[in-house]
Amino acid sequence: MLGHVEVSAAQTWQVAPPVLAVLPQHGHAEWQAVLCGARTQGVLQSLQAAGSEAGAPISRVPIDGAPDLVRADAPSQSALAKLAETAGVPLQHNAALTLLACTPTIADWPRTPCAMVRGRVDTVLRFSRSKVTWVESSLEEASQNAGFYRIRRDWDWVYILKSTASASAYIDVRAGRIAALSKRRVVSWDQGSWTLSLPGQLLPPTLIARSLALCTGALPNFTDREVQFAGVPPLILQLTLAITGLRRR
Amino acid sequence: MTDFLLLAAAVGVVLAIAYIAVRRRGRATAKRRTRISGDGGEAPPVSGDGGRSPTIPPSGTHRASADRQKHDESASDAWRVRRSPEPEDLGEKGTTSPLHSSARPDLESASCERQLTSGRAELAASSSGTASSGPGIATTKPTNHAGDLGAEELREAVDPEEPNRVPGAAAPNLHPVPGPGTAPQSVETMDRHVESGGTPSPRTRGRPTGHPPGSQGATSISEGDPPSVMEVHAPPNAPTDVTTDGHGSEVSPRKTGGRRRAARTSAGPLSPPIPPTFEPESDRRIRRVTPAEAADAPGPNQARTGTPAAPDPPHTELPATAPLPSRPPGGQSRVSYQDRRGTKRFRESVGKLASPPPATPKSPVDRAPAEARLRLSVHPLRRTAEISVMLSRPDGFPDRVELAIAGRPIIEAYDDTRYDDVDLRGVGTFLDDEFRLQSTEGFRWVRRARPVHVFTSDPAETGLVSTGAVRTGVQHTIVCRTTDVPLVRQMAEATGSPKPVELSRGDHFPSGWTLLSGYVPSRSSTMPIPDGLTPLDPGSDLTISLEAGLSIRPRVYAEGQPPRILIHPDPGRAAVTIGGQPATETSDGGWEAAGWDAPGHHLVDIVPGPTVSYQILPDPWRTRGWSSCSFHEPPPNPKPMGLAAQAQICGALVLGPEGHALAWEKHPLLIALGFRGVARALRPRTDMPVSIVFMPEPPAFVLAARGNRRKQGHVYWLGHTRPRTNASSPDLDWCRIVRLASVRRLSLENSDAEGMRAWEAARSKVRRFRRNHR
Repeated sequence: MLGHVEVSAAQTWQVAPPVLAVLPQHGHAEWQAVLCGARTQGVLQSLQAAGSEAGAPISRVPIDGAPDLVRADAPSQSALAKLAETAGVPLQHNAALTLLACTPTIADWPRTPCAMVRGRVDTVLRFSRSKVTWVESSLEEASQNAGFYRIRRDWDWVYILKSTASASAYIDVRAGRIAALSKRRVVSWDQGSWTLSLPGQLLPPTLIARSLALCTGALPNFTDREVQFAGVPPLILQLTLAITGLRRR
Repeated sequence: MTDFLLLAAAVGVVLAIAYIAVRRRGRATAKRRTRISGDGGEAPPVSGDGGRSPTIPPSGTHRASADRQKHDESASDAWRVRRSPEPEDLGEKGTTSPLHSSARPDLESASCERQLTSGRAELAASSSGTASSGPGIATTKPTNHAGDLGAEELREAVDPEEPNRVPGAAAPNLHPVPGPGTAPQSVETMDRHVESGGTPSPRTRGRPTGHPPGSQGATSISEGDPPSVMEVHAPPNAPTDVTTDGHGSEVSPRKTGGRRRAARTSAGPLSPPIPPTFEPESDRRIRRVTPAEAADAPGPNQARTGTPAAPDPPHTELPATAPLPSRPPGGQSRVSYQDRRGTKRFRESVGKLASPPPATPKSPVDRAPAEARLRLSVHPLRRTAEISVMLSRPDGFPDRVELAIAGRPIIEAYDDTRYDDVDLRGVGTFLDDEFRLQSTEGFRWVRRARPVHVFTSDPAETGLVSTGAVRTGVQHTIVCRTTDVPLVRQMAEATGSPKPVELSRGDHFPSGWTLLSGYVPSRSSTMPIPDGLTPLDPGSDLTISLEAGLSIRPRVYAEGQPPRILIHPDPGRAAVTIGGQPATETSDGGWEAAGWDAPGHHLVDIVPGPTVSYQILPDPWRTRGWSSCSFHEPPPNPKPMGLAAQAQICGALVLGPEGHALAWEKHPLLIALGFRGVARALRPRTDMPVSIVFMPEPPAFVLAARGNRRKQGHVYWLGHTRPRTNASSPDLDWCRIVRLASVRRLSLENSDAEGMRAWEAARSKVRRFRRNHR
């Protein structure tokens, strides 16, 4: 979620190249950038040296259960750019906005058309729009109605999004849940703290969650029923709502 | 006589026609001059009939070179009249769209006089490259209508003489070269808007005609203005059927005479007109289209290139660059130029992101020789043994090597750690002395001389593999000289091993050597160890373990995070070496030696005792860097995403076909500028209020404008001052944009001293360019 590694659908993963992701300004005059991707000793040493030279000191903030947050605080964008150029690390301006700008909407999310599951299955669950959770369902209901279904076959689970009664497609589970709750008012955003809250079941797909996390560089906060992203500016909120199709409460 | 009369009549007719034409031209000129003097009045209706000359809209208009304007009454049907936006449709105070640097409809005569006077002076000083380059960036000073783009500035931006002065240079009305897939914004469009719908002539480019109060902006045609067609052609990759305005609403282009125009359909009361999308004209003259030409007009994509119009793929394929307009000699041929500056260099660097230049690889001669081990293969039935050599493959060794021995065998790499076995039949007594092998490229392998060779099983290898010393409780096979067999049997007895069994040698096994299998020591030797047979003593049952460190693979660690080498129990008097260097115990119990944590292969050797090898991988930061990766599937429907569909996301880094990605909140006008060149217009998404562009170098500035008022446009500083493109000649479109933003005095945001210096440097560069190309 923080952009350190990339995981493919085949469950292979790769460490991403190091990049300084610029955070949106919020309530402070300084410009901040966090290091995402590989962080070998050479990278860190280079950043430290470049930070001292550019007047953008590098700090390390430990995060429980995650790699330390390596952050550069600069008085201006020039200092950030100079830091990146001196260290040899790419600088991604407004990383959150750029990632969202290159993310397809949930309505256009990649999916693989498939035939509806038939035969004997163990469990069929449907993601309820009203309850925002999985509820019991049946294969007959899944075959006849649109919705997002989770079906347990002999040895695996499959997630099928039915946009209509006849059209079925495999889709990422997170994207499917959000697609099932299209236009529902489930998002809350605090104007003072810029904290965006979603139901826990609606953790966005990786790219969207990464964009939201890169508003501060920290992982979201998971409470009992909600997931909260801090420091989400209004523009990012607007784009998130446009991409997900959800609405504010 | 009759012939003479006929001839005279014909001549008379010709003279009469000429006379009428001259008179009409003179009348048109007179009318135009009259209006310039401030007669006011409403703009004449659209000239759609066959003969009436278009009239000059009053106030604020200027005809810098009216005497050079061409007027073809017969081409009246080819007048392209562009419906101006309704006053209520205009942005503010009836101003045209922020993309149309037009003089405002309700200019007054007094202001027009002032504009005319100052404009004439400025026109003389204007030069090419400063034309109003596009919507929203007109070089206009505020008129009596604060913030409105006036004709004066447009005139300043355009020098009709310029095309003639600087052949080969871009025509005055240069506009930003659109980036791949971006929507080019031509100054011609702005001119068209400016001239109140009067289709401007080559002479009237940049000269706003203004509008009488209440008139419909661009509907009137300037009197005396030779009507010409603003040919608007969709960019190669723009959707030809639909274009969008700055607010994301779709606008259907009008098709007129086979040419397509992006026109407003229905905008809201306060929404600015939609900027048309079109490709840059290589010929800067605004050419008037005769009816014949209009009838034969090709489609928008072939009008310039002469090639059949191809359907534009919806942002799935972008040209490397947009054609840079240039002025062809004679104005006939089309010059297509693709700006590839930085493209190749950047594409080469994509495979190794964020890394300094890799260090110079070591030559084979400078490398330390690698280890050569032996493999003993025992036939399961015949119980005969054959021996082969295993060449290790340290980091940096090639995939194939040609050995400098008889036959020049070529050995392929088996995996990252070793090569295929080498069969050294008949090579010589490689068991006797130190064994050295070299490839034709200079890579070397060595195996120390030893009187006995100890083999044991290795879970990662087949057969038995040579090892440094025996270990208690492990079965070994000993290869020794035939004369040393009795000593070996004594050692077996002294170490508590069962009696070794002699194996038969294979046909190709070196003579003079014997194989003894079943050597399983259980204790350290109870008798003095003969010289050379130290490996047969398990010693104190020492074990070597590797702990901690960042393990990439088994026994492979990352540079900077080596393993902690532990030896248990204490080796006592046994000699411990790492990589041939004597090792010492540290305070935390680990063993270290000189160069023990350097990149490369290392061998922990205890004599007497076991050996363990490990490898340190070099930091990619110092070598090849990281390769980019993108595991995100492309969207099934890329059309709404537009240019963004071509992005590659790797971690937090977003790359595109041309390089660096920049996203911005959607504005009616967004242009990204490099530090020394490169101007790219951001392309909006149709489904979200965001625009994006890909640039060959990190962007230094972003010009964003919401309207044509000064306070509605800003230049944002992004901080980059080290361009990657080292173009010898400046990007003309970049010059234009900087010039126009400077003339409009747009404020510089997010800037510090460095940013202000950078902006000033950009302006200075533009000024120098203008001086040099006058």
